[in-house]
Amino acid sequence: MRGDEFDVLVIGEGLSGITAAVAACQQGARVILASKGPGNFVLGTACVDLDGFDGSTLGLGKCGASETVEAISFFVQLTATAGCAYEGGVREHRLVPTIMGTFAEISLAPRQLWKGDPRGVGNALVVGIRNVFAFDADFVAERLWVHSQHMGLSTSYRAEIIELPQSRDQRWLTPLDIASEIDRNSFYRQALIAAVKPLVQQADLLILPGVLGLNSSDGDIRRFEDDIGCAICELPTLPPSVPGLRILRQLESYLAATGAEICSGFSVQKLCVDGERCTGAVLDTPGKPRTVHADSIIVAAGKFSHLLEGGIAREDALGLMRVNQELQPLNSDGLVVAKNIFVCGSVLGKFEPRYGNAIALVSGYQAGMLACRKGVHYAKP
Amino acid sequence: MQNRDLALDNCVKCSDCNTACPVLKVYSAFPGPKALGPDMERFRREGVDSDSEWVEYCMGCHRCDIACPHAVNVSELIARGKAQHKKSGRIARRDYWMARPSLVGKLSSSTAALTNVLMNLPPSRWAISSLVDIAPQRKLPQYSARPLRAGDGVAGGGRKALFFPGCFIRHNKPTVGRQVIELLRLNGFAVEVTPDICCGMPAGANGDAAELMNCVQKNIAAMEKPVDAGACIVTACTSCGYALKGDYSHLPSNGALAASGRKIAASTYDLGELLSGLMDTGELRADFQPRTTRLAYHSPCHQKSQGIGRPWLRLLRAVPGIDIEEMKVECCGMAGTYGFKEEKYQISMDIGGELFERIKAHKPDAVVTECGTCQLQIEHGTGLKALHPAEVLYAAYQARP
Repeated sequence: MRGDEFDVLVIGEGLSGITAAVAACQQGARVILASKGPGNFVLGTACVDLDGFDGSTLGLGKCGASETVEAISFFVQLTATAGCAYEGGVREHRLVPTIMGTFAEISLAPRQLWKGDPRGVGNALVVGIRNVFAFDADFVAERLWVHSQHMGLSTSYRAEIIELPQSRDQRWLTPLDIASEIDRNSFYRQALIAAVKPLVQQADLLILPGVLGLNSSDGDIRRFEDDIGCAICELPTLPPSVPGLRILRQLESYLAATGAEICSGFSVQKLCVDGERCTGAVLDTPGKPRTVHADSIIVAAGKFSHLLEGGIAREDALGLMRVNQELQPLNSDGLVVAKNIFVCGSVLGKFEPRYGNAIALVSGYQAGMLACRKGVHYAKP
Repeated sequence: MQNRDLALDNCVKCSDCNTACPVLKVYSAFPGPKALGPDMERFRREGVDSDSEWVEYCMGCHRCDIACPHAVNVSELIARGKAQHKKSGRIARRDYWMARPSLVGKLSSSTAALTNVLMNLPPSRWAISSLVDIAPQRKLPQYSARPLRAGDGVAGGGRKALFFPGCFIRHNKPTVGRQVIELLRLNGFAVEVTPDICCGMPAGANGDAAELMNCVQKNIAAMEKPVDAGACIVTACTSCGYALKGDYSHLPSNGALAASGRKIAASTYDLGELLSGLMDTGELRADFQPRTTRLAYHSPCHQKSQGIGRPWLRLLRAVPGIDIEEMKVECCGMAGTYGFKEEKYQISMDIGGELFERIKAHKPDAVVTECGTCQLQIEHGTGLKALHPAEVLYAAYQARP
């Protein structure tokens, strides 16, 4: 096999690109994922809202209720195997706390966040870390208490501040600093456990800023819970969000272990379109561009990508793209631009910010499956 | 240049660069690439005094550039801060020599026997460390009395390769250089060795913009003609390779020089990239002798930033009996001259810690990595032998029962 020939090229490393790449890998395709960098889900909470979601009205190709269920259960399975499990599903909903002390209603969330639902929790303890900025435990506890009262819940929230070892030449720490220390030093992990353990005696739930390591898997987090003796809910903080980065890293290594090549860090200059077929893409690598050839190309490059500009119909000023039922991009005459290009993620159809991650998962899974379908593999010239 | 300058405006402060920085990972007081690059650049461009010692702590590994989803040239912006940074006399003197490995090589090679003894004899070693602030824990690389010279190439028909060995292979590991030449000859290349001029990467890393331009101009003058005549440039050191490909394709100002730089960049191939390309087209000689060995591979940062995949893994896996696994740890912490500096030694070793542990757990017969200073760091941190992959491939061609 040549170094630059693949069955499927996925462009973009957001939720849709990663989901598409894993789906294609599991269909037995040789996959390369090329991206300039991680998608935006690593910056936020990476939660998925499915309440009232209907893919068929959003221009997501052949996407009815059963396709949505299939895509979501694929993603739940994928994240559980990869070590960054999600909880929830199409008809579920939970209230997850935020660092602003509010509750967000969602259907699918990383396990650590899913646990933050106030219903069924008697005593919650919010723990802040001295000198870690952008997480004010008193503020979070007070507001969560007010909000849960308004909802008629009896959950109590109280705040504590702990101290962790810190070098003298430093005033402020970020959650990223704490997470890096936890990854590198077991004594730092012990220090955190020792500081928190005496405080959680009366608590059913410990709420922490997201700091429990960048490389921690679900198993590592469970060991934290066992050692502390309390369930933990980790809140994503300001970017960089440690829980988001952790999901990215687990998904990346799972994808690599599944056999995909990941080429991250270089913009895709252009797609190579030859007649009604796309033969690959040109990556902006130093010195000379690297050309990657593939039988199918999945474009998951986000809303602001210049790819597929010119000749492709755009729905509105935001430059959203029109596709057919098979997620193939259409030109202004409504004709398919290239039969082996499949589009997924935020550039699709009628984008609804609320459903950004849902659109990514559902269309990404579909694109991955469509790209591996029989008939899109063309004989090599 | 103007276009790249605008890249600064692409920074949306997402901090993805900070999450990729090896220094920030072990040293939380370090302000990180976002602050030192795009944030400070706004002040530098306005002429506001914003000089900071911290720019010196950037390793120049380019991991921030790779991480940025918005194509901001973060490390280049920090390098500008480095070029403007004012150093104390002592540090400036040390960095003058660190920016000029070719000159150090020339001086040392001519008196190699004496230099090698003096460099590692305790009293003189102590004097070196304390006079020029080089970490006393480091073993200094040995210099060869027989460095690689222009005449060491091989003539012949067919394709022409211009081998750019880089200062480390030329002066410290000329045997590896001679094996690279032999690998190219075996696969149908006539080889010419480029003159003894540094690629300029160490000058840039030590904030010496004038010396960097000096290297660039001399190299372009030396290589442009053969490249025009159809020769490709082959590098075996990934930092030289990145310099020729990346830095030479974005030279500031001067129209003619910039165009020549882009030509040099477009003609440069990493040795692994070239040979695996030959493997793709069925042109690579594959008469390998089986050899049973378990190897751990570390991909240097400047290998990753070339965007060529991992060609050496494919090549060495083509040799029957070689079991090679990538360690998948981002950075070894050496970063060329960085890890030699006394004030940065501990940071360098802290960064390397994860890689050392991973390698030791793998229990390999040897470690394989393209970069000369990664090899030094891995040997220092693990006590294992670290080889250039060309040495392994060369041995696979040569071994006869």
